[in-house]
Amino acid sequence: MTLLLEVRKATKEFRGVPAIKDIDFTLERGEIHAIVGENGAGKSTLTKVLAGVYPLTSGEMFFDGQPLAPKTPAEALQRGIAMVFQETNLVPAMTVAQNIYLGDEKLFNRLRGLYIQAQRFLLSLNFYVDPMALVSSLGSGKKQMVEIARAVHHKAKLIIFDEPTATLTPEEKFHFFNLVRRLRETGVSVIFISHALEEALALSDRITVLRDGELVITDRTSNFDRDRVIQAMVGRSLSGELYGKTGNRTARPYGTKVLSVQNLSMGSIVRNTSFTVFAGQVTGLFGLVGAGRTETMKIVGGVLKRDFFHGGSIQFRERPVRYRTPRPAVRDGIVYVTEDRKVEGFFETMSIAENIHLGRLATGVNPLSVISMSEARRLAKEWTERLGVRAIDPNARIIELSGGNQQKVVIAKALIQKPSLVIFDEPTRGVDVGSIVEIHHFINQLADSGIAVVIISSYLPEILALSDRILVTRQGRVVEEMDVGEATEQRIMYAAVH
Amino acid sequence: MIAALKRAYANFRGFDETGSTVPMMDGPLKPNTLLDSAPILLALPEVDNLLAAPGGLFCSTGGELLSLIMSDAALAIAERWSMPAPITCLASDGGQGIAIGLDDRGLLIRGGRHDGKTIGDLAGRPFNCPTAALFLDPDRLLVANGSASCLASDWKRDLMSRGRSGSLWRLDLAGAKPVAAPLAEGLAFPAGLARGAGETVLVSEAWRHRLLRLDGSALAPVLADLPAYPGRITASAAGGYWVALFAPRNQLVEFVLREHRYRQRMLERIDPAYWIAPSLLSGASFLEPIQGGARKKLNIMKPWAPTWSYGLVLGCDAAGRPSASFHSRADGHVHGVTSLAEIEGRLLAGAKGSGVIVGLDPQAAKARRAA
Repeated sequence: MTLLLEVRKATKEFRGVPAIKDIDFTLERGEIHAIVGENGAGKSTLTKVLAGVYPLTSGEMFFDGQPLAPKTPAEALQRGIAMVFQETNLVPAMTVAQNIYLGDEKLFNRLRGLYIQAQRFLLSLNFYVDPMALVSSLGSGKKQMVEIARAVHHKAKLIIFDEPTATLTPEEKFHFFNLVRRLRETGVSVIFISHALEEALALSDRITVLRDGELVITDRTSNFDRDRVIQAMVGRSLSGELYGKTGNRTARPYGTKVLSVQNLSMGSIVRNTSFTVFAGQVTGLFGLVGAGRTETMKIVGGVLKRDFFHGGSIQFRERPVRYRTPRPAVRDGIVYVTEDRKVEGFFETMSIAENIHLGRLATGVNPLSVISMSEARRLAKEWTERLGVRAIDPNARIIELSGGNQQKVVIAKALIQKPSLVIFDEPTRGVDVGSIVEIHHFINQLADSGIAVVIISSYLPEILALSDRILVTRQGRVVEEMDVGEATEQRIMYAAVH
Repeated sequence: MIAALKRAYANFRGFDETGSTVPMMDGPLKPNTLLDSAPILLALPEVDNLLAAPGGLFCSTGGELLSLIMSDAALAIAERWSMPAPITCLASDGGQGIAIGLDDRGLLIRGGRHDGKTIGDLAGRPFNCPTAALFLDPDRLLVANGSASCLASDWKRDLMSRGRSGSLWRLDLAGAKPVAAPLAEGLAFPAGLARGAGETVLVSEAWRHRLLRLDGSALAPVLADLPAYPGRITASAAGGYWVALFAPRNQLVEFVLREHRYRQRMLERIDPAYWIAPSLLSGASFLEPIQGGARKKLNIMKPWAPTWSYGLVLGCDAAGRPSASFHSRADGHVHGVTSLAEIEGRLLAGAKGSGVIVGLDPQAAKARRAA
């Protein structure tokens, strides 16, 4: 194979602090190259430099034998480098088809023709997405599909996928992997960033491990196993800590009944579901995408509304409640930590301190009172230390943080509200293994302190490692309940599918 | 019009406007078949009032008091005594004395220092429905009168007429004539008593489906919104309590309880055996009203079918929080558990509905949860 991309001594600094340092990296034609590393290891920075999001501070790059220094993503795309970002960058107010052909419009566009063309194109990729649907109405998984379709449409020579599978269902992942392999067969090179190490090991030809902005190792995938990758990533083996406590674990005892949901319904998404959540326990909620897990818990948290008639009832601490906005729910002690942190989790232009302090303000502040910025800074310092948020500067904008650190800020913002019921929706989505261990540890601490915790996760090992009780949802309702002692991956998946 | 407005408001605020919601059985109440798989130690029709006393193990059936002998695999009847009325409750004074509640007659003391004393009224009011008794000490007895208008055997009528006339009394037996003092009134069929932490007493209030803590004469809820009607309570040797829930709540009964005129007509015209009401045993007659949905498929009862009767024993910790449960579901054969006794590390459950005493392993329900 010949080289498509060569990076020599690449360094990118932010405010004098290097995010990547002296990276030497090569990519062959028709190669799938996985880049793995903890949050803040520099994976996204390296790929964003390639995609023209940031310029290099020093070093040089060659693409297709020519020097490469794209100033904008559009320039990189012209050279044949497309990037599918971790957080989707679609235009929410436009349709799927319009997003796919964005920047590639003709002088006169016939919408019907565009939709038919997009439909054919999406079906060729095995993506079942309605081309006429507004992007804002799509779930995370479908948005990711549109992003991928857009990159494939631009016939790029190099496609960079940043956490592409985090929001996909197992079936969608299967199609995605086939798509990537098909791209490789046609000579397209792929850079693949993923925290799911099994995927990196299964899909890639070579793996590069980054740590603290430096390249630790690049080798053929056949020379790696999971433990070796983790050891290279974090400098120690985490196999005992990460998802290692599934067996031989005793469930926490049932505390008082905190939440009782009876016959809850919302359109055709949540259908007559009933369940109970107890204090001092982690209740895992598992189901395939579309099973109504997120919507159910969003109704509980006041983000969505149940049906007006026959919508069921919710009792929180033995009191019937019906929240129309999240604010009264937050005041009562219910917080929902979103799965879509970029859209619903934080204000990206605000600093870490401001975002965390917003959580405190949400619990109810006298409108005439003066907001103390020193208190905001003190709270931010306390919570960033408690959760181990790694940032260059406490006043740094949250958008400058890595995915895992952003997630920690979102969690801090929720927990500052002193809740008695915390709902984590995909708490470790797009988070590196080191941070996953920290977040899991923190969730366990919350349950041990007597708080009722609900985690929604699509990743079975996570559900099994954290939950004391597992509720499985299918077609909008809870269909099965298992204690940790009787739950296995097979049983849970069987209940979720059949 | 007002009712419609109330319903609309209740719906808007998220209340259950029909009052027919029954809490689901999940968490510690997750259904299992542990009652059905437990060994049957003795088959005895109408078995009730299991009591582990220093003088041995006792139970009753109708108007007979029985002494039981326990061996490894079975129970045997050692002795029988006839009483003038059906026995409704038993309590031990910790020695040789036993208080025996008699339907429509009050209370009788057998053995011990108050042998032969009878309590036929409670401060001039009829003691018609003794449902539970508990010795606070050998001279003081706490009793529950389930209903002022119905007998204990007629509990179904009290439930369907929304009885709220139960009361708790303290009896001082020291004098020549026992003296009764009221502790609480207006209770909805108090059916079980057990000694709680310190001087407190745990009380089950069946028709309000909850457990209460009696401290002095103050009552406070401990566990509310149970999915079945709680009856007798027994303290566990390992700390905490066992509660026998003798019949299940269901949505249809909850609905009928809100329909006053329909309920009145049913009470007046229909044989109680065929009421839309919970029962200690169901499925014996084709005349029973069945509920919506197919209860049987290929002549096999679905375990999750709506049912008038059920078998349920709930384990609670010392704070009254549920921790484990034993079930006999719709297709089970240990329904209508009314009494419990813990003896030699074994929990005995007397199912009055099915007429059996089964032996349970107290750790079995909890062991399911550990990996």
